[in-house]
Amino acid sequence: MLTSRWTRGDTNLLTVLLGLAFAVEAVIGVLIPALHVVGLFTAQSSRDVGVSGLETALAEAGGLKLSAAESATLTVADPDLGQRILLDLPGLFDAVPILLGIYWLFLVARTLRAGDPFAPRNPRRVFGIAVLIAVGSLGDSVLTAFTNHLLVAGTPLEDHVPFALQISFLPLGIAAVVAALAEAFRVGVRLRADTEGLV
Amino acid sequence: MPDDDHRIQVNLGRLLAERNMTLAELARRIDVTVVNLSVLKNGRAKAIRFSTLTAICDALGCQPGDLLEVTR
Repeated sequence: MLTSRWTRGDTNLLTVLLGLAFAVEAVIGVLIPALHVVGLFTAQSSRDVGVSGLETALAEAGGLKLSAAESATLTVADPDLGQRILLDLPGLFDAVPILLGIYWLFLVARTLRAGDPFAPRNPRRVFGIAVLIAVGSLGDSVLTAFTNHLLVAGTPLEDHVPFALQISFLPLGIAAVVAALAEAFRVGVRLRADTEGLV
Repeated sequence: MPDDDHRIQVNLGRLLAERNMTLAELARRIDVTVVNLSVLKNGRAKAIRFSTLTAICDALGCQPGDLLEVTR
C-alpha cells in the first residue's frame, strides 16, 4: 500500500530549500542584472528573439536539412544604459513574482511546521502564488516582446524581428492547478472552523 | 449566521453539582478530556457530538434537555 507521510524533517528541508531558492534568485534574478544595468558587472548582452525572413541552412546531409528559421540570438556588442535596461528588464520583472512566491511558500511551510496548514491566510497565499505565476508568465511575454521591439527599433534589423508575443500555456495551466489547490485550502480552513469548539 | 450567534446554555456545572461529581471524574468516566469538558461547561463549545452527548447523559443519568437549554 502506498503511504505518504509528511514529517517535520520534510518541512525543515523544504524551509531550507526555499531559503536557498530565495537567495539564489535574489542574486541571479536581481543583483546580477541590477549590477549589469548600472555597468558594474559584465554579462552577455544577448537574448533569443523570434525572427522572420531569415531562414538559414545550418547543415545538410543525407537528405536531411538543419535550418534556423524562427529564432536567433540578438547580441548587443556594447550596450549603453538604455539598452542594458531593455536587456535586463524582463529578468528583473520575473524576479519580483518569483521572490514573492517563494516568500509566500515559506509562510505556508511555516504554518505546516506549526501543525496548522489550514491557517486562515494560507488560501490567500496559495491563490496569490497562482496569480503570480499567471501574471508573471504573461508579463514576461509582454515585456520581452516590447523590449525586443525597442532594442531593434530604428535599426536595419527591425524588419527581421517582428513584434510577437510568445505566450506559454504551461505556466497558465500550472497557475490553474495552484488556484485549485488554493480552493482546497479554503475548504480546509472552513472545515477547521466548523470543528473548532466541537466537543 | 455567525458561529457565536446562539442562545444555547449548557447546564453541565449544575448537573455535576447536583451529583457531587467533579469534571475530572466525569472526564474519566466518559473518556473525554477535561479540557474539552471544561470548554463545554464554560459555554465556549460551538458544537457537541452525539456520542459525547450520549456519554454525558449516560454518566449523569439525564436527558439532553437537562444538559442543554435555549435561553430567552
